[in-house]
Amino acid sequence: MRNATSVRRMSRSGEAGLAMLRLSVVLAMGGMALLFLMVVAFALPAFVQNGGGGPFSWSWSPGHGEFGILPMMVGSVAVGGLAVIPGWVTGVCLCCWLLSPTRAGRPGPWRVLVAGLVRVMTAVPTVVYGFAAVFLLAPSLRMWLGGSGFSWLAASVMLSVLILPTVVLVLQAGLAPRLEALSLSGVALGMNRLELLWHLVLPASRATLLSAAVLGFGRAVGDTMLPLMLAGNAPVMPDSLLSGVRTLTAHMALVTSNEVGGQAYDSLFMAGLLLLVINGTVSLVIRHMGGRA
Amino acid sequence: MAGKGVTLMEKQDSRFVLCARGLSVSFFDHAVLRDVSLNVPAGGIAVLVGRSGSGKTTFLRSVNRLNEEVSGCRTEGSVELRLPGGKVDVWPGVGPDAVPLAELRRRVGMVFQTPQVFPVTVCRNISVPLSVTMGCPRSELDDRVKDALVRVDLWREVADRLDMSAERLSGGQQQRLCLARALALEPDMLLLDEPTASLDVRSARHVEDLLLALSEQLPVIMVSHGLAQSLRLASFMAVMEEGRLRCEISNPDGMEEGDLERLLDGAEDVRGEEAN
Ligand SMILES: Nc1ncnc2c1ncn2[C@@H]1O[C@H](COP(=O)(O)OP(=O)(O)OP(=O)(O)O)[C@@H](O)[C@H]1O
Ligand SMILES: [Mg+2]
Repeated sequence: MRNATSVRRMSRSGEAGLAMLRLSVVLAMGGMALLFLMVVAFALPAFVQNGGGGPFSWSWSPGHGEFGILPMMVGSVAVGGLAVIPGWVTGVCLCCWLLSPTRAGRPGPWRVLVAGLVRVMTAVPTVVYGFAAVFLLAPSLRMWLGGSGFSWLAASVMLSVLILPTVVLVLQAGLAPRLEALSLSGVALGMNRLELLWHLVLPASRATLLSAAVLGFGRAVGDTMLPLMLAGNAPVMPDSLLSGVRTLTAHMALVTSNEVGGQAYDSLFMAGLLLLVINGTVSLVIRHMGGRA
Repeated sequence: MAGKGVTLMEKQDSRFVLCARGLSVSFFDHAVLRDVSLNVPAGGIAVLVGRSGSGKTTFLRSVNRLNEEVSGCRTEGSVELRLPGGKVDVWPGVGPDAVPLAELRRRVGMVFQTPQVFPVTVCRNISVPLSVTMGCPRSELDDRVKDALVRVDLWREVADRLDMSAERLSGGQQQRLCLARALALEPDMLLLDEPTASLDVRSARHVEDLLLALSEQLPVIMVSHGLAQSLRLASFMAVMEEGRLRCEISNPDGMEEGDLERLLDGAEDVRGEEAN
C-alpha cells in the first residue's frame, strides 16, 4: 500500500517535470513565433507600397523620400563575408594548434595561455574592440592605405577578431572528442596529433567546420557596434575595400536613434526581416553545399 | 650474479627479440608494473597471460611507449628490442640505439583490444598512415592497400567497398583491417592486445591462423585471455600477476589448459623457472 503511494507520488512529480518541460518549449517556441510574426507584419506595408522610394531600391535619402535599404543589405553581406573568411581560417588553424600538443594530456604553458585567452575573448564586449580599433586600426589604415580608415576593411578585420573565439570554441567542442577517440590508435601508428587532425579528423568533420562558419557569419552579420563604429556608415554600395559601407544592423541603430515612426522607421522592420533572411539563406546554402560535397 | 647475466645476454644477442630489465610503470603513483624483467625469445608467438588487471596491456604498451600518451605515467627500468633492422633502445631511449618516437611506433605495429578503425573509408584507413608516416608516393598507395588487405585475407570481402566507411564493417573485419593497417607500415614487430577479444569463434580462428602465418615473418607478442588459444599459438609464454612476472614458460607444447589454469590461480609450477 505504502509502496503504491510512493510510486504514485513519484509519477506525479514526473508529470510535473514533464509539464514544466512542455511549458518551456511552448514559451520558447511561442516567443519565437511572435517575434517572426511581428517582424513580418510590420514589414508587410513596405512590401505593399510600390513605386520609387520603397525599401527595395538602391538609394537611401529620407529627405527626398527615398528609403532604399538594398545598399545596406549588400553592406551586411560584404562585411560579414569578408570577416568570416579570415576568421574561420584562423580559427581552424588555432584550434588545430590547441588540440595538438606533442604529448597528449599535457598541453604546454603556451597552449594553456592561448586557450584561456580565447575563452576571455568571448567575454569582451564588442564596444571595447570597436574602441580599440577606432584608435589603432583606423589610423593605421589611413596611414598605410589612405582614405579615412573607417571602411569595409576595418569593420571586417575587427569582426573577424570578434568571431574568432566563437569559431574556435565550436570547432574545439566538435573536434576534440573525435580526436581523442582515435588519438591512441593513431599515435600507435607513428602519426602525431596534428597529422591525425589534418588527415583524419578534419575530413570527417565537415558538419562541424560548416557550423563554425555559419555561426561565425551569423555573429559577424548580426553585430551592430563594430560596423557602426568602424565601417564609415555611408549608405551606398562599397566600391573598394577602403570605401565606407553601412550594414543593416548599423543602419537600424542609426535610424532608431534618430527617428520614431514614419517611413524611415517602417523600413527598419524590413531591414530586420532581411537580416533574418540573409542568415537563414547563408546557413541553408552552406549546409546544402556541405551535404552535397 | 647480475653481471654474469648481462654478459650471457650479450653473447646470445639474437636469441631474444625483447629484453625488459626492472621495468616498473605507475600511473599517478599507483604501481601497475613492478620490476618486470623478461626476455622474449625470437621466433614464434610470445603470449602474455594473466588475470584481468595484471598489467598485460601496460607491458605491451611500454614496448612502443604508448603509456607515455596517458597522463600521470612514470616508467622506470629499461626495454630493448633486437629487431631485424638492428638493436633499438626503447626505454629510456637516450642511447645511440634510440630511435625517434614516431619511427619506433611505426616499426613496432600494434593492434588494440577493441577494433580501432578510423572514421574514414576502408581505403583511407590504410593509405593515410602509409603516406603520412612512410611518405609513400600516391601512385603506389593503391597497390600497397591491396597487398595489406590480401595479407589479412580481407581483400575478397571489401574489394568492391573500399570507399565505404570502415565503421560499417563487421567487428571481425574491423579487427583485420586494423591488422592490415599495422602490416602496411612494414613493421619489424607486432604487438597484439587480445586481438580476438571481440570476435566470434570462427573469425577468431581465422585471425589465429593469420597470426601463425605472420609469426614466421616477424616477431609477434600478444596478450590473450583464452587459455586454449594461448596454448595453440604460443611458442613462449609469460604469466603475469598483479604487475609482476609470475613465470615464463619457454616450451608450452604439451601443456594442458588445466596446468595453465592452476598457474594463473597461483599454484607453483616447476616449469615456470626455466628461462631465467
Ligand atoms: N591510464 C591509467 N591510469 C590509471 N591506472 C591505469 C591506467 N591504465 C591501466 N591502469 C591500471 O593498471 C592495471 C593494469 O591494467 P592493464 O590494462 O595493463 O591490465 P590488463 O592485464 O591488460 O587487463 P585486461 O586483461 O582486463 O585487459 C589496472 O589495475 C588498471 O586499473
Ligand atoms: Mg588489457
